[in-house]
Amino acid sequence: MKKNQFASLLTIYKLSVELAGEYGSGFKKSLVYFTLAFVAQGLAFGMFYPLLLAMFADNPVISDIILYLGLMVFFSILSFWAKWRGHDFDYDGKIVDVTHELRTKLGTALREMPLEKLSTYKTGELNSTFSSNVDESVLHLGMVASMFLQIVIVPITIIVVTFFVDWRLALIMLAMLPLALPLYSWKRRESHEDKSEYNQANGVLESDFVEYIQGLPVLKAVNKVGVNAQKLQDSIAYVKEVQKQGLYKGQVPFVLMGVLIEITLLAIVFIGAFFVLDNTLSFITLAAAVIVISRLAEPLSIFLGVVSVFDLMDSAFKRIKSILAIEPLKIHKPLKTIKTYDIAFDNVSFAYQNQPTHALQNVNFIMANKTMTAIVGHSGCGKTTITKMIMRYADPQNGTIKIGGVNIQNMTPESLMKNISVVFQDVYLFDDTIINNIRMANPNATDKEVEDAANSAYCHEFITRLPNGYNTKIGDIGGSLSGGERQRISIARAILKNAPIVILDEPTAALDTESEVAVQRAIDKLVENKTVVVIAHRLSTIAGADTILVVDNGQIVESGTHDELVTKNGRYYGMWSAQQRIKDWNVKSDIG
Amino acid sequence: MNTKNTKKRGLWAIITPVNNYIRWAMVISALSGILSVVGFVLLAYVIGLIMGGSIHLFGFELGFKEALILLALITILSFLTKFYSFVISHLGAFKLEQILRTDITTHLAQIPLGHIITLGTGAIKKVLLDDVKNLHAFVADTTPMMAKAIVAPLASMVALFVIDYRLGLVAIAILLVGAVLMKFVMKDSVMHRQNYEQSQSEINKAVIEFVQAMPVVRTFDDGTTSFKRYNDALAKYRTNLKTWFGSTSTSARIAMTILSPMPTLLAVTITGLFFLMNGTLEFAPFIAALLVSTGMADALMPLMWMSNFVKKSSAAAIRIQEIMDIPVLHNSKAHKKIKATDIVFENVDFKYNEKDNYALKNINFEVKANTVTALVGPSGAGKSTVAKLIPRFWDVTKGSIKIGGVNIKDVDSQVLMDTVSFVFQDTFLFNDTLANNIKMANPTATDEDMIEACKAAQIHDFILSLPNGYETIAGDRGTNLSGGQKQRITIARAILRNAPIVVLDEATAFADPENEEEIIKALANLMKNKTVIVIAHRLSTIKDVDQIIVFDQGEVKEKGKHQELLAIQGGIYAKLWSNYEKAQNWDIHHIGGAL
Repeated sequence: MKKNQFASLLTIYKLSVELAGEYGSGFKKSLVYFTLAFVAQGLAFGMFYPLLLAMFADNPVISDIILYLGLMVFFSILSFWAKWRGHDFDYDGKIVDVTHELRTKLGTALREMPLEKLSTYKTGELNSTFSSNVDESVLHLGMVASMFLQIVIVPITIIVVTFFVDWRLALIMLAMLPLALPLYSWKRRESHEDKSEYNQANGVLESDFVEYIQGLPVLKAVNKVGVNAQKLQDSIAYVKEVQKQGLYKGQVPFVLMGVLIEITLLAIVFIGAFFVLDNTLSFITLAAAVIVISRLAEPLSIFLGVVSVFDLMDSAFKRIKSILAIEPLKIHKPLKTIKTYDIAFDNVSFAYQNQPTHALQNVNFIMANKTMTAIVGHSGCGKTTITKMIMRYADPQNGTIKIGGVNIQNMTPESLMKNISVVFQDVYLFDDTIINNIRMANPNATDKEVEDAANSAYCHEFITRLPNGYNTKIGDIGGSLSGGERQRISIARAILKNAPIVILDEPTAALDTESEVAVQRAIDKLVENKTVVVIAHRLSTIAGADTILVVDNGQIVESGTHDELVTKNGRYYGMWSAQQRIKDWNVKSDIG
Repeated sequence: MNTKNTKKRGLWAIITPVNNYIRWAMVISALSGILSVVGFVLLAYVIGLIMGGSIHLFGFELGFKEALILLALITILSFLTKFYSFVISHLGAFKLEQILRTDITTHLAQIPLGHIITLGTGAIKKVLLDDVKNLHAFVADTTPMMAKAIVAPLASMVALFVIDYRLGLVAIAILLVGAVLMKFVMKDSVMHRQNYEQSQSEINKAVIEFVQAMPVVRTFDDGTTSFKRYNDALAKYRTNLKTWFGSTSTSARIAMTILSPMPTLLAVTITGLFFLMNGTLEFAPFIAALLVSTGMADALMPLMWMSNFVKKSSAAAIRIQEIMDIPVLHNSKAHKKIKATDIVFENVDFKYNEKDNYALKNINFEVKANTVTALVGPSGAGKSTVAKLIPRFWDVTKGSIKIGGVNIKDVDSQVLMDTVSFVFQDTFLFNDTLANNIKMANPTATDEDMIEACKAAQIHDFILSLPNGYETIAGDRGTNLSGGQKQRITIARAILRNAPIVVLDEATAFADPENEEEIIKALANLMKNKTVIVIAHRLSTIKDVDQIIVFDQGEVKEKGKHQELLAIQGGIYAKLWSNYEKAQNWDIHHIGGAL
């Protein structure tokens, strides 16, 4: 038991110092001040013993009273002063610097994190780690530290002082007060246990909520809503049951701790009375002991409130740490630069994290410099994985990927990405001006160059029609840009970047017909004289490609030009002819 | 903004269903506050009684033994009151969670489905799960604490004045100094808090942008643009928070010092010493005064903790009330039946919100029973909005929609749901067997009916190929089905439901390009002998439909058959069609190096 207590105190301490990071020394200094403050506070309380004895002596000696009163004042002032200095760390804003440092570290981690790892996080999850978790774990640091020290040091000091006054009273205190610690760990264990059962019940409830909300149209049609949604109602009721059970289990120690001081007082008076009647103890000393002990009630009850804050800090910091612990992809020496832009996959096999099956298996191909290669296949076959591997989204478990003869692991991420432009299906525009959104691809570009790129991407015209032209903020016009217009801005960005390799991942799939034509023209401009990798579902789009790779189940099953593949009468031919058949389908034709 | 008022009303209003629990918990908690003050006073006198003597209380004479027993009783009572106020307030909180969750889910089923789609599953789930949970802190922990925080200091004060009014005045004087300083600490806190919250939300924005844009950032940004914005947000946050801390640093420390027990104890000890010296104060009252005098200051600390809980809870309460405030779909008491399936839009105007512009203006058209009508137009023209009005995902702002001559507002919502099937709005599969997922559309359907439907939906063979066949569990925690397979299962569900009107969004139908042929066949079977409205994107699929309605900027611009519309010189449809043909025939025009 004792060991456990110590361990948990030590963990708290280590956690706090780790959190404080480079401000750790400032934090430790504040801990020293707090320790001093609480020893002084304990001593000030302890002065009640001699003071009351002096005051109620049969022949009070004024100089004694003044001496003890003076000491009490002195220790109080010492305690105030030390506490004042102890709060330098949080009240003067050092603690804000700690949050700043942590967030900067997190931001850097995010920039260097392999994209595969990044994609396993939900945006909301990362957001809450970056904003609320950092505040939760850091901002309470000073307060929690001071309360923790108070609850430990003041009682110890008081007990030590009491030993010098009457060892028997000290023993009673010693017997009663440490009870707080086991009770504390009891409470924590209980709250952990019932939390895991509670979390489980909540997990079930959560997925039942999702099912209910998403299934509402169907559930409404069959009148299984509200109180008739039996399964959901059961889950709601179950959560309540689990909470109720946890209440009776977990709250007894909690409330016991709340009256612990009252029980101690009762015990001291009861036992102390015998000593007084024995004439081995002055009832004045007993009264002083009661006053001193009663002072522990309030910090103890506040501490009970803090326990949950500590749990909060603990879990918040764990989440922060798990992000900081993610290692960026390794860059191998020697660093090399590239001069030609052919892309070669040599026996590449890759499986996503925690996936039993390979997304790519023994993939071999060469995309020659300045040619266009199309990747086709069913959804989920590995098309997009191939393009991701070119951008070093993650490293393959096997094989190498080379650009211009250089293994991409021998390049810094910056020098690799400098050579690649991507046009995604989903366009991301920053909440900034249009000109900045385009210019981010090349911060040194002149206004003229940005306009030329916009012109080539067929967006100059609609941009100049906007109220503030190129200086219009995306956020201000928000939804009024159509999908096609947004896509063309992103293509202007890619044109300005002028990277020798262009990756197109279904760039027109999300567009309506009207915008599609303009985007298509912009793409034609973008791909001029580039090494192009394109994923397209409509096969007619890529019929002119120099090479078509047909992917199935993570393997390349066919490759060649459109004509070669059609003649071959294999997988590609099957896809092509299916698309030709449905091209002529219309809702009135009868093919069922 | 008067958010503050709304907040207060919000939190107390939302707990009304468990008012009884809360009141009892507060009363008992207040009692426990009084008991501990009484206990302390009695304690002082008990010590005085050790040497003999007695005190008179309500006509009883108490010696040491009796007083000690009374003290023990008070301690036990103090424990029991603490325990029960705790238990009762928690039970109330748990019950409230259950009531609110049932109420909200019931309410969700009664509001227009459009709201649910707009709000999004994630946001609604958060309200149901987290916000309801966040009320707990207020209901369970804060309300009893609040009662105690008010009653305990009052009881201490009364006790102190009864013991010795002079010492009472001293303790109050100290408290007043503390309170004035507290006021000083809080001086600019509203402004600072606002600055802080604003810079915190800027961090949120920067983080979200940073995370979502990371793939773009990696390709296009050398760190100057997006990382800078993130860093700027961090720097601003640091400055704001530091200013806040800095402005209150000194006064906060002074307040903390004054409100700690030591100053009060010292003041009472020193004044008490004088009164003892001149013989106007005795031992027991002095000890009692020392024991209860700090009760007032002690109560202020938990009050500060509480304000945090209350803030979090009231934000949650507001979000819950926002959902509960969404008006339910109004149903007239007519309970009319639908006998025919022709659809008529009469002078329909629609806007999503009071403030918004009209999404639809003066829409008039008729769809004859058992015909196919296509809605076309550029994105944002209003075609999907029209489709959503038919199953009453939203209600029209003006005008009326009639099915078989009956205003859809005069029909029970179940009847309407049975009449109109909006395919692909409900591709959702429940965490249940495939058979139950399909059969739920029609509880009277036999297994044979179900298999027929699955065959028509081109999914029967696939289901049979699964190890458990129709007993396979689908949904989140079940088998992984591809998008196309899920779609065909929901088509089977729709076929089995056999609603006479089918509304179909082609864009979502082909969202997953895999197995297009099967999906097309399945849809063709679903549409057989139905009144069909299709939101069309691939114009080639609607060449032969009975009617094409062309929308632009929320208005009906053209109506007719494919050939008729093409004949309109400079018409919208003609332009759409020529664009469509061009887009279909695009192949990437790549000028590159020689192979």
